[in-house]
Formats: sequence, structure tokens, C-alpha cells
Amino acid sequence: MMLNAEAIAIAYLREQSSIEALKARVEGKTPSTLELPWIRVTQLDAANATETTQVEWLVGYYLQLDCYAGSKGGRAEAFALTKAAREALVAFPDAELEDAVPTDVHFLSMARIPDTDFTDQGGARERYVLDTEIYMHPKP
Amino acid sequence: MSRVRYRPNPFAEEEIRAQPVHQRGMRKITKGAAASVRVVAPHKTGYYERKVRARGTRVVAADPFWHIVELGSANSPPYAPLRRGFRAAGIRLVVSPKPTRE
Repeated sequence: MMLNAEAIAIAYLREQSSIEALKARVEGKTPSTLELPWIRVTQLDAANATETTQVEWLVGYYLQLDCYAGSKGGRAEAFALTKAAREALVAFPDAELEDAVPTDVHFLSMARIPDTDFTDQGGARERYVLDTEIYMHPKP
Repeated sequence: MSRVRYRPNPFAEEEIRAQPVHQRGMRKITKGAAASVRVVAPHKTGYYERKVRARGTRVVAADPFWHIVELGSANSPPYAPLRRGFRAAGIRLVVSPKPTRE
């Protein structure tokens, strides 16, 4: 049974006090206002880790987290947001969730890649791209 | 019984990679990976797909906006054809910003 990994990760990150403290939004798409920092969560893949196609139980959900600074934030803010998200995900396997049990979290990359679609902050908005694979199965 | 001395070769991996038999074997894998990237690439104008090539032991995405197609932007979702294509081809992906000598 497949889980809605994006929704689960978004709900979990929204509850983190470290992310709230930065006044950051956590969304599945770019928010309508871009002054405050935000994290956009996009699922890129979901690989069956059970090694059998008959049983979809433990799945590795490959998520990309785009951690953007606000309009006045800069690199330090983007980094602080990424660090907060990463530390929260490290603790994810210990979280008590309603419908899912996260068992492991791997980080595949964390690259600073400013977004050149913006013209503020010297021609690009500061952003870190955090690639993570979260292993989860449904709650029995 | 004689004693065996083990001396690790720090250049072992580089030497293996330089061998013609390794290069030949990798080319097959690279062609397959490039084909896989083309399959999962966004199919709009076809420009990105046409610019994905296997060159020796590398897959090259020559679209000048490959970074936006791959990683997305505020106005564009991350299509991630390289990451998704390599995974679909069964290749373990290691993202490293350090260039290799190969």
C-alpha cells in the first residue's frame, strides 16, 4: 500500500519548532507569496524496498526539498532552514505518525544552487536542494 | 607457511577505470543510462531529449537549461530526468560536486 510521502513529510516538517521559528512555510508547490522562506517538497520516485512486486510494503520515497531563503534572508537563512529540515528528518524514524512508520532516512545530496528565476538578492534567490530517501511502511 | 604482505594500491580504482575492458563494459551501461534518461525526460519540444548523449563513460545533458529541468526553480517543478533516469536504469546514484579525472 503506497503512502502519500509528500503529505506526510510536509505535515511532519510543519510541526517542527525549528522551522516555525524561521517563519518558513512547507508546501508541495511554490507558495503564492515569496517574502518569507519556504520549503517545497517534491516526490521524485518511490522504489519498492521489499524486493518483490507482489508486496508493496516498505518503500523508499525519494524526495527533493527546495529550501529557499526569504526576500531579505540570504544564504545564511537558506542554510539555517535546510539544517533545520535535515535535523528534523534525522529524527523522523522516532516520530509517532498516524498512518505510517518511517524506518530510515538517507541524505543523497545537499547542494547550494541559487534559483536564477529571481532577480532579487543579486540576481538569484538563495536555495539549498536537499535530496533525501525516506523509507516508510503503512502502520499495521 | 610463508608470510604474505598486503600493500594497498591507492590508485587501484583509477587504474581499473583506465583499462580498455572496463571502458568497453561501461559504454554499454552508459548507453542504457542515456536511453533511460531520455524516456523519463519531459516531452514538450523534444529539445532536452535530443541533447542527452552517451559519450564514452559519461552521460551528457547538453541542454543549456539542464539545471532547471533537473532541479526545478520557483516557476518550474524538478523533472529530475538524470536522477530518475539513472535510478530507473538500476544505477546507484552518488551525487558528488567533486569532478573526477576520468
